[in-house]
Amino acid sequence: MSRHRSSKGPRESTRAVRALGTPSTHTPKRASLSPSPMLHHTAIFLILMLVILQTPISANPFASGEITINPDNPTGSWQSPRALYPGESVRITINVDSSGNNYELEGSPSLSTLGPGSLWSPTSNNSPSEYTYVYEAVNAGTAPTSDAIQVDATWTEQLDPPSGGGGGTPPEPDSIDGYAVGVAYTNKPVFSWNSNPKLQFADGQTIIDFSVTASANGAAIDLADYTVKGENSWTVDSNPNGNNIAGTVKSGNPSEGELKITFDGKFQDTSPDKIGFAELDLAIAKFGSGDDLKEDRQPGGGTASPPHEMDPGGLVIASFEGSESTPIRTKLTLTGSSQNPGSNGKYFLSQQSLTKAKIYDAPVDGQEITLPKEWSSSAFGNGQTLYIESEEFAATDDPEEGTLKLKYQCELNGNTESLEDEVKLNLLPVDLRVRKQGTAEAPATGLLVTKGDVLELAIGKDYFNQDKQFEELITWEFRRLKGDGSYTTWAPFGAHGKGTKFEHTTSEGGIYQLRIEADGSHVEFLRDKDAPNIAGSNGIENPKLKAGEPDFVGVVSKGSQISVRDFALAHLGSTAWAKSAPITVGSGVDPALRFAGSWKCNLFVFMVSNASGIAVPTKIWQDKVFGIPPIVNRPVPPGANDWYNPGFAIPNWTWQAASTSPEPGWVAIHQHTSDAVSGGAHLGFLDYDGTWINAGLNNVNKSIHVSDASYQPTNYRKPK
Amino acid sequence: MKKLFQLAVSLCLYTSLVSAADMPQMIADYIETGNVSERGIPTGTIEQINALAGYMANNTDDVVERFDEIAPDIRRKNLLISVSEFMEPQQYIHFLDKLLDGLQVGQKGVDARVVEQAFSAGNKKMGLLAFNFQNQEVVNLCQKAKNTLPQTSSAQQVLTDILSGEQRTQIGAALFMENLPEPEMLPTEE
Repeated sequence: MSRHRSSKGPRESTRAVRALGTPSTHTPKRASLSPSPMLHHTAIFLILMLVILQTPISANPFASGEITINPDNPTGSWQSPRALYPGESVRITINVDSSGNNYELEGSPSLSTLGPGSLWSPTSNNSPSEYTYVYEAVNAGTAPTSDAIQVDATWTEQLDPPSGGGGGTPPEPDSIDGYAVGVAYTNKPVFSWNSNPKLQFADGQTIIDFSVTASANGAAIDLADYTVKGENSWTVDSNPNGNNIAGTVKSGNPSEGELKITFDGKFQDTSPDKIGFAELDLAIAKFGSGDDLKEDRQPGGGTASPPHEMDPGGLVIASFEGSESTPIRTKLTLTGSSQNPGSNGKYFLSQQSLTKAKIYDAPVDGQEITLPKEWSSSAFGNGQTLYIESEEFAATDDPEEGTLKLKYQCELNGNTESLEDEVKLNLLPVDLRVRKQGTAEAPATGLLVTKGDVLELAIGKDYFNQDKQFEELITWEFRRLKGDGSYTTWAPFGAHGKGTKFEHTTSEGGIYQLRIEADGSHVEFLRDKDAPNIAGSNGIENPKLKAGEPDFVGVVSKGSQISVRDFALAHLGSTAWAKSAPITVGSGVDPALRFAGSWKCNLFVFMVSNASGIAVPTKIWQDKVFGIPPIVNRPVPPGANDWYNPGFAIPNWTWQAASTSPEPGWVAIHQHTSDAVSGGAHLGFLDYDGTWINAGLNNVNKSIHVSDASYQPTNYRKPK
Repeated sequence: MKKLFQLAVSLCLYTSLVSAADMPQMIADYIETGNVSERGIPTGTIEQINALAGYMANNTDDVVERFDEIAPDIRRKNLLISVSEFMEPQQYIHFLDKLLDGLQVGQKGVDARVVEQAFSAGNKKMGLLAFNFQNQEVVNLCQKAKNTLPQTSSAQQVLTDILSGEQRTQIGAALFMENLPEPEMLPTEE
C-alpha cells in the first residue's frame, strides 16, 4: 500500500495568504517534477537575472524570515510583519533540504509567485548553497498589492531493493509534497497636506507654500525619495527633510490644480485641496497717462525699492474750489484673466481713505464708476483701464493719501478665496503759487520782481510751509514771452526746480510762464481771477486774460521799470485818456492843447513816463493857423508812430526790435501798416504779464497782450 | 459849388434807394468776424473794408434803419462806425446825418454813444469836420448834432469847438503828433 503524505498544498497556502488579509488572484501551481534539473536551473537563473535587472533592491530590509522545509517539515511560511511602504523591503531565505528521513528531493524545487508578482525578486546572494533561495520583496511605489513567493519541493521515499530476489511487484515509493511560502504586501502611507495660501498671483514669482508629511499606522514615513509635482505650468520647488517635504509653487499662468506626490515616478497621493494662481494686477501711472509705477511686490517676496506703486504711489493733481484748471486724470490699469481659477469669480475695486477720488472709464468725460465696484469675471474679461480724477478741494482741506484695491474672489475647494493688489494714491490739490521771498503771497496785481530777487514757488499755498515732496516726479519748467508774441520752448529750472516747492534766484529780466511737469503731463501756473480791465473799446474781454488762463511772472532788469509800470497800473480804468475827453498834458506840452476827440495812447505814455521820473521830451508843431503867419510853435508829445520809428530818438527810451524779449515796464508799440489805416499806431506799457496798459477809445485798459496777432509786429522801447 | 455838393448827396441818396438789397455774404461775414483795434483801426483786408464801406454808402438809409439788426453788439457797431470813415466825404457826412435822424426817431441801436463816436472820426476822416468848420454842410450837420445829442454829452463841447474852429487846432496837433496828413477840404460857400 502506497503511503502518501501530503502537506497543505498550494491551494491551501493561497488560502493562508488570503487569511493574512492580502489579496491574491494568482492561481497556485502544483509542484511538479522537473524533467531536467540542469535545464530547470538554467531557466531559474535566467528568470532571476531578468528580475535582478528590473527590480531595485533595498539594501536594508526592515524584516527578514527564514523557512526550511524537509520531509519531516515539508511546509513553512513567513509573512512580513507589516506592510511595506514605498522604498521598504523584506527578505526571506528558503532552504529546501535535499533529503531526510529516507526521502530524497525529487528534482529541483520549483519557484513561483502568487499575486501580481512584482514584489519578490532574488537577491544578489541568492542560492548561496544548493536549494537555498534568498528573495527580497520591495515596494517600488506601486499600488498596494500582496505577493507571495513559493518554493515547491517533492521528496520521494527511498525504498530498499527487495531482499531475496523474490518476485512480485516492488512497492511504489511514497512521496511528500512540500512548499515554503513567503508573503509580503505593500501599502501607501497616509499623506497629510498643507498649502498656504490657496490662491496666489500668477506672476511667475509669487509663491504658495506647501508641506506634506506621511505616516503609516502612526509611524512617520521618510519622504527622502518622494517628489511633489503640480500642473505642467507650475514650478514646484520641493525640499524633502525626513518625514516632511516643504516647498513652494509658483506659476506664470492663471491655473488651478492639486499637488501630487510620487515615489520613483509613481503616483502616491493628491493633495485634497486645489491651489490656484490668478492673474491680478492693479497698476497706476505716476501721473496722468504716463508710465505705470513698478510693482511693489518683489520677486520671491519682500518689497521693491521705491519708487513703486506704494511708495510714493500715483499722483492725481486736484484743483481747489473755484479753480479754472482742467482736471488731469491719472490712469489706473486693472488686469485679470478669463482663465483665472475657481468658480464664481468676481473682481472688486475699492478705495480706502480717498474721499475725493472719482473713477471714470475714459481719460476725459466718460462714465463715472462708483466705488466699491464689482464685476463678474465675464464682465471684467482680461482687464479694465480706468482714470482717476479728484473732486475739488476746499481751501481748508488737506491732501489725501489712500489706497485703491483690486480683489479677485472665487470659490475654491468650497471656500471663498481672494487675492488683492493695491496701489497708493495721492490726491494733491495743486494751484501753483509764486511769491517773492519774504512775502506771504503775490500781489493781487501780479508778481513783478527785479532781477536778483528770489522767488519761492510751490504747487499750492500750503506747500510753502511743508517739507518738499515728489522731487522725482515733479519738475518745474518755464518759458519766456518773446517780442513777436511767441514763446521760448519750455525748459526746466534745473536740479533745484523739483518737487512740491523750491526757490529760484532770478537772473534775467522777462515775462515768464511757469508749469510743473509730471511724467509727461503738465499743470500750468494759471490766473485765479480775471485780469482787471481786460475789455477793450469793443466791449469784449481778451480771453487770454481770463481766470484759468496761464498767468505770468514778470522780472525787470531795472527798478525804474517797476516804477513806470506801477504808475501806469494806478490809472487802470481811468477815462481821463478817453478819446472824447479833453486833458491837460503838462510836462511842457502847449497848455492850449486839450486833445478832445483825439487818440491819447501816446499822451498816456508821455504823462506816465514823465510822472515816474523818466523824462520824455516834446516835439514842436508849427501851427500855421490857416497858413497865415504868425506861426505858433506848439510843443506836443511824440506820437505813437514816433515811438514805433527806430529813427526817432526819444531820450531815456531805447528802441528795441520785435525780436527782443520784452520786460515789464517797457513800452510796446504796434503800427497798423495796412493800406486802410494810414499808418496809425498804438502803444502802451507792458505789465508783469505781457499785457499792454494802454489808453484806448474809452479808458485805460489791459485788453491787449503781446501774443495777440492783431497787434504784431510790435516794437519796443526800454528805459535807459 | 454848394449846389454841386447837394447834387452829389442827392445822387447818393438815390443810389441807396435803388441798390438796397440783401447784404452780400462776403460783407456779412466780415461784419461777423471783423473788429476794431484800440486805436480805432478796423481789422480785415482793404477789400473787405472797402466792400463794407461801399455797401454802407449805397444803402445808408437801410443800414441806419436796420442798424441794430446789422450790428447788434458793440463790436459790430464799432466796426460799422470805423468803416464809415472809408466812405467818400459826402457819403460820410450823409451817414452822420442819417444817424442823427435815427437818434431823433429813437431808431433801435442808434444811441448817443454811437452818434458821438461816429462824429469823433479817428482814422480816415479824422479832422474832416474840424478842418471844414466853414463848410455849410458841416456847420449844418454839427448844429443838428448839437441839437440832437443830449446837452450832457461830451461831444457838445467838441461840436462847439468844431463850429468855432478851435477843434481844428486840437486835431491839427494830433495829426502832427502822428505824422498824419490833414483831411480833405470840402468846398466852402463863396
